[in-house]
Amino acid sequence: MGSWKAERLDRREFEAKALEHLDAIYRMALQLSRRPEDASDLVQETYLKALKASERFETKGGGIKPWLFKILRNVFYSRVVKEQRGPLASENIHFHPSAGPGPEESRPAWNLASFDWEHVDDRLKAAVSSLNAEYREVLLLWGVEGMKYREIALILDVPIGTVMSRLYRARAALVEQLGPLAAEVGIRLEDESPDGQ
Amino acid sequence: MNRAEIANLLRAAADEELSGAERARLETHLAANPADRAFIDFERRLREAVARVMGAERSPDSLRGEIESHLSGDGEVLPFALASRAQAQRRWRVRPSGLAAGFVLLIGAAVVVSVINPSLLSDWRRASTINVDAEVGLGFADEHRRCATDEQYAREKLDLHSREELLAHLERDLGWEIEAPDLSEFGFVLRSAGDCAIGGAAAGIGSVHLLFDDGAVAVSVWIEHSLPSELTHSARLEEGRAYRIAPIDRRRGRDEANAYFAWRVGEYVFRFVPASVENAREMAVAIGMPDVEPTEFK
Repeated sequence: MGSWKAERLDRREFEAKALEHLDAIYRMALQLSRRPEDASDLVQETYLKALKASERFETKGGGIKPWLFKILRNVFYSRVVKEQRGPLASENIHFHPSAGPGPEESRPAWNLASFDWEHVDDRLKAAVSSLNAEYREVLLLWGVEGMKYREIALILDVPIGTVMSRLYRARAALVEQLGPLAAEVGIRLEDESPDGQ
Repeated sequence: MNRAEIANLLRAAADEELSGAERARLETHLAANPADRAFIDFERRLREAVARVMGAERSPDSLRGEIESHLSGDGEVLPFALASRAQAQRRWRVRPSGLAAGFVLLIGAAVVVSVINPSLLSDWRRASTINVDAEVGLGFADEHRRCATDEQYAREKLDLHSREELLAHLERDLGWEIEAPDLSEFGFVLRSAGDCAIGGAAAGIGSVHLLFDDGAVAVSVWIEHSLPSELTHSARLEEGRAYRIAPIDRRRGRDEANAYFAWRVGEYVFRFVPASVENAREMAVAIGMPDVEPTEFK
């Protein structure tokens, strides 16, 4: 039971630690909401709720950062639910990028080793932007925050298999959209994937 | 390994998510297929590029200032949830009338709902709609399938092969004071126990997956301990009620085939994935699931 023992932070320590993660929470809020003003609003409400609940916060389960992420998501998705009751929903969060290519189709059909990463950022940014919130958030936790599948699963409140599935779909969608860039920079089209052998 | 398994293995290698056994399988594979190292490298570079592109934003100084001001006590308390976006600049300020109105509305809504349709508040047979989306429900049914069919899928396996060993583990190693599920009267024996798929134990949260089978069909029971909201879909699992969690695919409606059940006993959350076994209702009763109705086990 040792791993479940909780450690409580005093108020000042809690605030300091919470603020350390402001950029990360803002980035996630921006990915979820897409608009800076909405992101700021989400972050403020997140910190408000966190502060109100700070006495109940315990350092188990990965610390304050995942906890803030969870609060942020709850705030965001609660708002989405409210909006969906209105005439227009800002985004269909349950949309899937595609029916989902099979795993055997997930690799780009171009020369992986010679891909020019120097030219990729703008195209990648547009590709990320084209994804829906549930894929952008998993990409951010995985790519920017460097989290493990199990850590992401706890934040997203889903099984690890779902995290893997979403990551797979999100990456497949990115790769699919990077394909034209590969062609533009003259990458030789071929299939070097293990499937292609 | 088939093609999908190889792709998953390479992807997990790029993400440094391999177990010891999986690393050995990877090395064996790469020895025979050295070109696949390029795929691992590609996936790593993609992750770096995602980090670069998505990690560039910083919070505005004004936002940090507002929050710091509030944390230090200079700001007033603040019901944003009641504030419109047009009033965003006032979001840190007290709006007692808004709070009161919100409270009255909340109470009113609860009363109306309970009068019009009391079953919404008490009928467990309705699926919880709180934060349950298509992939959540689908995920658990899928986890059950994988845990039941893929020996390599479990993250941690416990060396338990009988109910007695399970009871001893729960009490001695975990300190859990619960009655372990017993499905022997239905001919189902404990086939494996451990931390499969959900990974709660690895994350410092008590989570045990139990897989029972009768030689032909398998059922899963997950038990989790002391979860404020993790892995409960943020649903408030009210004690004494069972919740039928059904994935909702908005394109196709509710996906009944992947429904499963969740309930709470004190600090423990149980999940029961009976798949399509016979006597599922009786099994649920046997493992302590409350308020079972036979119609839900057609």
